Amino acid sequence: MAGRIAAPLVLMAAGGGMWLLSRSQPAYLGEAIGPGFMARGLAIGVILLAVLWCAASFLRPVAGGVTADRGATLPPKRAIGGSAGFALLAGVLAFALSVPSLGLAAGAGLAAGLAAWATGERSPRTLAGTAALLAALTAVIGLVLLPPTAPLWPTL
Amino acid sequence: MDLDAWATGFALALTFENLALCFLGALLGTVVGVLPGIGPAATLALLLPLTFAMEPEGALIMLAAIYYGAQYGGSTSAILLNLPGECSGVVTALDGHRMALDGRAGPALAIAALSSLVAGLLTALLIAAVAGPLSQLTVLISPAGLAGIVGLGLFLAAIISPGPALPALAMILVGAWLGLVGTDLAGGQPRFTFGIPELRDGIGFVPLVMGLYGLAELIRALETGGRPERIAQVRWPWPRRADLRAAVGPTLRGTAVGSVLGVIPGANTVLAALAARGVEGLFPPRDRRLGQGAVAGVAAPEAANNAAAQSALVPLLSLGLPGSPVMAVLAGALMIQAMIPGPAFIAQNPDLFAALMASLVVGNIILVILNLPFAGVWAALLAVPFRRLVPLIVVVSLIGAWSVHNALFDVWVMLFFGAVGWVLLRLGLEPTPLVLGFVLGPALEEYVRRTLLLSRGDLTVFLTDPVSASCIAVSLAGAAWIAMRKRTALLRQRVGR
Repeated sequence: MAGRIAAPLVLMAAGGGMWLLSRSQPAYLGEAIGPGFMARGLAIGVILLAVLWCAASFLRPVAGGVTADRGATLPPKRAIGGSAGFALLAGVLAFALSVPSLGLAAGAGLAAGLAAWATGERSPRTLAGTAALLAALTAVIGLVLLPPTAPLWPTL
Repeated sequence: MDLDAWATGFALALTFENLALCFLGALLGTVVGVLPGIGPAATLALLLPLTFAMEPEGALIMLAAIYYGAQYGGSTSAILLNLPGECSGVVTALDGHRMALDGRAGPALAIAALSSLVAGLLTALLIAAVAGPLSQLTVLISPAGLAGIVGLGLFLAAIISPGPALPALAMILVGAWLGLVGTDLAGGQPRFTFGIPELRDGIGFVPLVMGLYGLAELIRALETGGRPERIAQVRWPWPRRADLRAAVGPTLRGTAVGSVLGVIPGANTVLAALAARGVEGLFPPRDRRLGQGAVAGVAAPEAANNAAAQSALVPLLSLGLPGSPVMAVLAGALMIQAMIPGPAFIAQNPDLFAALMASLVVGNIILVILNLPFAGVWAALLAVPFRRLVPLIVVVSLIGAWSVHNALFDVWVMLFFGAVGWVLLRLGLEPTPLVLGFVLGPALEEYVRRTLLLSRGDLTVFLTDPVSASCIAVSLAGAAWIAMRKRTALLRQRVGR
């Protein structure tokens, strides 16, 4: 039951947060509607729908859980586990942190290496090869399509 | 436009210089569409200085070709990698990527190209025939009517989104709320920006999509093993006869929907794609159900977005109303050439208008020639094991997010939405409705505010305006029809037991 109502509860909390933030904006400016009008309406809509969904979940069992492709629940096969998510997000984080000093090409290489790690790849040669290949691809894209001011290379 | 005008138009469009510019524009547009992030508006703005020294026909032909080329290219990454390069690609990806996972990437890409071609050709004829009267009609649509149309788009988004309707509707509202982040256009004040200057422009579409699709979907695929490691039988792009038959109706309907919605200033290609897919839900499927890799799910939105992209030229050329940022850049290109788009434009520049219409025909044919052979090459990407593709998708997403403003802020936004998407997927919530709500939400707010400003806060205007009332009626009828169908299915299940 807890798993079934987790999603509506999260949505309800999100709606509550949206509503609180919406209150920072006036709903009306004189006679005209203000910047908070639509935001409040949407927040209330999210809360109401989440409550409805929660009630429906209590009344009728709903298939839930992690879905695979486009809503079709598939049994886990060849699953890597939660570490994949952390490694992929770490790759993006590494890119964001490294670009100012290493440049786009090396930053992309680093992210590619971590992304390859996320897929379960552990061979150092393959990891290095993937990083080098995608750093080179980024350099090509940068030279051809990005503006000349793009920080492609490391800052010395 | 009569036959003589078409002949003049083709004579101008088929000169070596204009043909080369059309080809260059189509090629650039395809590349820009395939790579998420570098959108057509930015590309047009970057290339605008190049048009200073060009003839007006050449400049307009090249810039227009970039725009509709991007619509073609955007479907490629959406179908193959589930990474929509353009807003409307979100709709195509729903069935297109499913087809790709079933080993039918080639036919999916070919159907996308052929539907776009048919839509492009028919829309060129339509614009040439009724540009003036059609644009005069659309001016009669009030802000209340436009709010109704966008509201109907949101309703269609809830219908087509995968999964149950209640959470989909809630996610649409969350997406619409996120679309409000940024400077309030009416008052000029920052809204929900937390003092972050970069958020004054709002949350970018590309980092949001790259986070929710590029990262979160990859994590889901890796965690669940739900995506095949290697796609078997990546076939030659030419679709089977059954696929072509299944695509005919949706293409024609998508063209009709797209060409009408494209003429309305403010209605965008994603609204057209959504509406076209929604219309397909009313017809019995010829191959598979929508959402399960149906040909109609690719043909209809692709035809609609290409038709809408082209018919968006109508309000620009005949009324001087640019309905989107891309059209605004095109208007700028015309002004640089000392031509003011407006009611007198077509009458004063008949040769230029004829050349543009002819170039739409030529450009769409060039795009198919460019894209059809490449469909096999692109589709072969899927023969690469999925684990090898993951780093490529991550890097393309990162470069795409970075290139929007050439700044790392968008990468941080992408990281944030990657984490959010991961949580959503763990909770069984689909990101698609959130993205669609994000695209349409700000437009809804703008039209609602404009309407209530004009009506002095009187909400009954939404019921008295014929367009708005029709949209509300269609939405209510649709909701009732869906509820009845579900109830009937439930009753049948019970009787079966």
